[in-house]
Amino acid sequence: MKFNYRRAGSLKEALEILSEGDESLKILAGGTDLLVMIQDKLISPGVLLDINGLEELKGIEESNGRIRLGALVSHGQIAADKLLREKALPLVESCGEVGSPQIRNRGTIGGNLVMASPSGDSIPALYVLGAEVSLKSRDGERVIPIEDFFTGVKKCVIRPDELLISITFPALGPDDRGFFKKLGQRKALAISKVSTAAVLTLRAGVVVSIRIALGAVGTTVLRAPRTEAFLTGKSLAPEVITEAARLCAEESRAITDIRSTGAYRDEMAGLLLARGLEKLA
Amino acid sequence: MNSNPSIIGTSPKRVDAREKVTGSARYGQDLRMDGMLFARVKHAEYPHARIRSIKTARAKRLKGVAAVVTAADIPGNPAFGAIIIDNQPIAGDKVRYLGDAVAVVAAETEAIAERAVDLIEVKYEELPGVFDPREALKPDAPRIHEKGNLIVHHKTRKGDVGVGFGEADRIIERSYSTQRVEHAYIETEVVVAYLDPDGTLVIKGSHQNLFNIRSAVAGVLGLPLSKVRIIQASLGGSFGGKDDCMAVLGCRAGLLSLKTARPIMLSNSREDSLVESYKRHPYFLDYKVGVKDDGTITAMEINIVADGGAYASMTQFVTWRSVVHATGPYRVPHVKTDIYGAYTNNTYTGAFRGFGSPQITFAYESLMDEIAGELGMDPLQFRLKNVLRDNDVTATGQKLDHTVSVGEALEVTTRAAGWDEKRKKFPEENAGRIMKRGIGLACSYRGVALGAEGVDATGAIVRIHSDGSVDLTTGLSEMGQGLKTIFSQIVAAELGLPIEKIQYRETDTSTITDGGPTVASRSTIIGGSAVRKAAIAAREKLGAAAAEKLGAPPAKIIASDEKIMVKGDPVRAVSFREAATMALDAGMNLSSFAWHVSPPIWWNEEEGRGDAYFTYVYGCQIAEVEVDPETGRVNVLEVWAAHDVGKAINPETVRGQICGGVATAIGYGLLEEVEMVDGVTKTMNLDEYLIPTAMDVGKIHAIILENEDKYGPYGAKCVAEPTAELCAAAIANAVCHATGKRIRDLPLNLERIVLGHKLVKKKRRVR
Repeated sequence: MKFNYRRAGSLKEALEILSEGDESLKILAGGTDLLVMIQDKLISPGVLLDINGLEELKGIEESNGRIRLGALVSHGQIAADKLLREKALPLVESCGEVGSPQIRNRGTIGGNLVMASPSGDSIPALYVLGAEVSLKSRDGERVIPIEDFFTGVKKCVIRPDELLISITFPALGPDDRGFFKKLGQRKALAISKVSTAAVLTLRAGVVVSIRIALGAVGTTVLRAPRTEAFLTGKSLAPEVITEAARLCAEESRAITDIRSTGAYRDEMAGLLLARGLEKLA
Repeated sequence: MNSNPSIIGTSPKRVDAREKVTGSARYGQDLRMDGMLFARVKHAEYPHARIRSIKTARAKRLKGVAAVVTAADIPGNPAFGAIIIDNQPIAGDKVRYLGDAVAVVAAETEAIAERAVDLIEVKYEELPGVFDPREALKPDAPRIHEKGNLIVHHKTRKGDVGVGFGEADRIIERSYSTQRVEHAYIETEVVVAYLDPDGTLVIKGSHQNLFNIRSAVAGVLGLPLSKVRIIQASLGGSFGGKDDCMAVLGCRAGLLSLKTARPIMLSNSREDSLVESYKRHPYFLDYKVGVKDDGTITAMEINIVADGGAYASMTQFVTWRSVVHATGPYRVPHVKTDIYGAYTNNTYTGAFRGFGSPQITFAYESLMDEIAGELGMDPLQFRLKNVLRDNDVTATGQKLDHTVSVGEALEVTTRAAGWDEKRKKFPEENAGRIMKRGIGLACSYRGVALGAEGVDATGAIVRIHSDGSVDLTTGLSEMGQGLKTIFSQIVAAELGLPIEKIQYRETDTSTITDGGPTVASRSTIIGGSAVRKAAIAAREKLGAAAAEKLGAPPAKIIASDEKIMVKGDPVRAVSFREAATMALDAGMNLSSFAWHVSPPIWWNEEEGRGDAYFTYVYGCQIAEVEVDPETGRVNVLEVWAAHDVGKAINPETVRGQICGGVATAIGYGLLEEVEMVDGVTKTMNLDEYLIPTAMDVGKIHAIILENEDKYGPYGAKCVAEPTAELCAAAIANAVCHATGKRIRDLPLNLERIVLGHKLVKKKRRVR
């Protein structure tokens, strides 16, 4: 494999290079997926544009109740971040379960999104946090709600001239709770068979609102709207949780592939939800 | 003359630790030579097809390509094999699995070689494939080899099972299956082939069994054995896995080297390795057992079918070990066992640590728990009632004349694990909790070394130099198991030297005669005996030279503390070095070669009986697990593993072997399976083929039992393989104790525990 390597010195330069329209160009961030794809000959890029030097794409900040993650923030940084642990727990939990320490330290949150794998662990967490993705090109910037970002397996709406620069979402408030749970075949370094994330607002023991997202069950991460509607306005009584798990399993309608069967995934999507909710009840 | 073997039974630092820890060890992938070319393989495109034509002209024309070879270029035999000569390094008329090569390219760079491979055009006539060994044995199945699909049928006969079942109060029948698994050594297969100026073809690489590889390469390339030299590079794991597949690489690279007169590097990617290299045999096992209400086993009838894949490889030997041990370590008066190995168009199967034992141990030890359950007996008590004891007779009619310690292993292990209390306590506690605890055990007996598979002999050379330093050479291979250290310890013990004075030379077929393969957990007992003999012979010469100077009879001279001295009179001594110089100056030969042959054994294949092995080892493992019955997750919390090794020459190495074997077996029990659908491998790398991580292996308590054996050096027998054959069964039994669910098919992955079936449903699944 042979390719040209370019390192962008600034965001402006990176966007200029992207605007040239070189179809053989691929962006190098952590490289944990990209290099494997090159090795497996799934892609053979002519140019790798290294964006690791772009300061604009780094850092974790909170302002006016919103949290901004630079696209280059690693899973390891997120998993170890105190602010996020307090205000974005599902994301912290999900990033802490990605791959191995080595992969977490190299792999970036922006990379995890643009790879658009339905089993990308950060994605269900960002769904339930109500995240938005900022895409920037030489001609401007657009902000896309995360649920509109993905269009299929390994497919998303980003244009070749755009760079994913940041992800923002509202910080969780004192009444908000959340979790991320996943199942893999082994305890570490295992791609999810199924994962479930949820964020809910709980007042006086009643669910005021809830978002649930299921990973690795379909071609993209999916929300569970019927389960969400059922839970809204209810307390987290055992029978409510049982029914929510049943509904969630029913609307998961998962696929069968090398990592698991649809039947198992459906059941587990509901179970993981129930287990997460039980802890909050 | 004697020595002071105080180093035996201690754990000095491994002699090869430094080079491995510092990264200076040279593995096959590290090798580079001037003018070296890189080879790549054009693999088959169908699991079963006749080759109609191969066009290589375009590949040959590509700039940077030095040679493209096909079967037509092979100067010697088209195939090689341990017993059946069927493994073709480059396929000629037919491909039989997707790992077959149809052509091999050598080029200036790997990238050019890869492009050249893509330019080779092959036309095939696709043939119907067979992917289930039970289907393969049906009369109308497509024929994979000309002589049919049956590789081998072994049997064991003892007594009359009709009579035995007649005496039984109950007859219990169960079926089990095991999966295809990969060795998953960290280093994939690699060779560098080159010609010495005298025309000797040298093949250096990740070899396990150098002499097997030499025979194969010499046969296929039409060279005398003396013109083929196999050298082992530092090996990044093997577990039985770098034998036939290395011969294949050696033949391919060797042919290209002969063709180009340049060094050739050929290495497998992980994907190549998963498809091409042989695996552990999947087994389908049917057991029928007669038992009395008091728990006495009266008869066992066993029928097993093994998937041999495209080539026979070690199938005859693997299944023979299974047929000898299929009943487990129990007194069974009436036995009828049949095992069939069949060709399929799957990746071929061969040697893998355990060698036909992990499969049967999973079956018979699951079964023993099932029978105990039917009888309402504790699994331990049921086993203790039936296990072999001293002077008992095995299923093959062999009277055991050594210490039979399976009962001891059971008692020691269960005591250490708190068996009685946990068997009682866990079910009560489980009633009120989601995560269910369980504890299960498995025990086994295992014939040591090759047994009646064939001649079991090996040699060693000990050379004492004039400065008192010592070289040790054997034909056996270090694979991480600690052989260099154990052998060096033996020489150090016999010569009275610190281990640092012993230099273990790299393994090279040109330095010593064929001493067989490094397999069957035979190295310590066979190789160690040869090493000991060679060291003693060298010492005797030294002693004779020193005796004269010290004025004492040779019988009174000992070697100890780097001195040759008069026993009981340490003042009358010369240094080891002085003694060596003296002896050499006197014209004595301080190099000794010794040969050790195993004690006699016999096997009657017609009648299915014999004294299959000259001694046996015994072991027991207990797994304590926590099962999440809702997700199917099994956490192995602790394992207690007791193994009778005869004598632990190096206890840390023994413990290392036990921990490694347990980890392998946890993978076999819970995680691993090479998924194949219609001959196509689905698990193509280690992100899909999951082996246990450190997080998945619980705490392991290694317990060493020592009942010295008259045939072993210092009483040592073996450790290696028995450690890998028990834990899958122990886990299955523990899962059943925790959940009440009996799972009879490996691996016990999440889906199987929750839903009762495997991850990807295979077609043609019979049960």
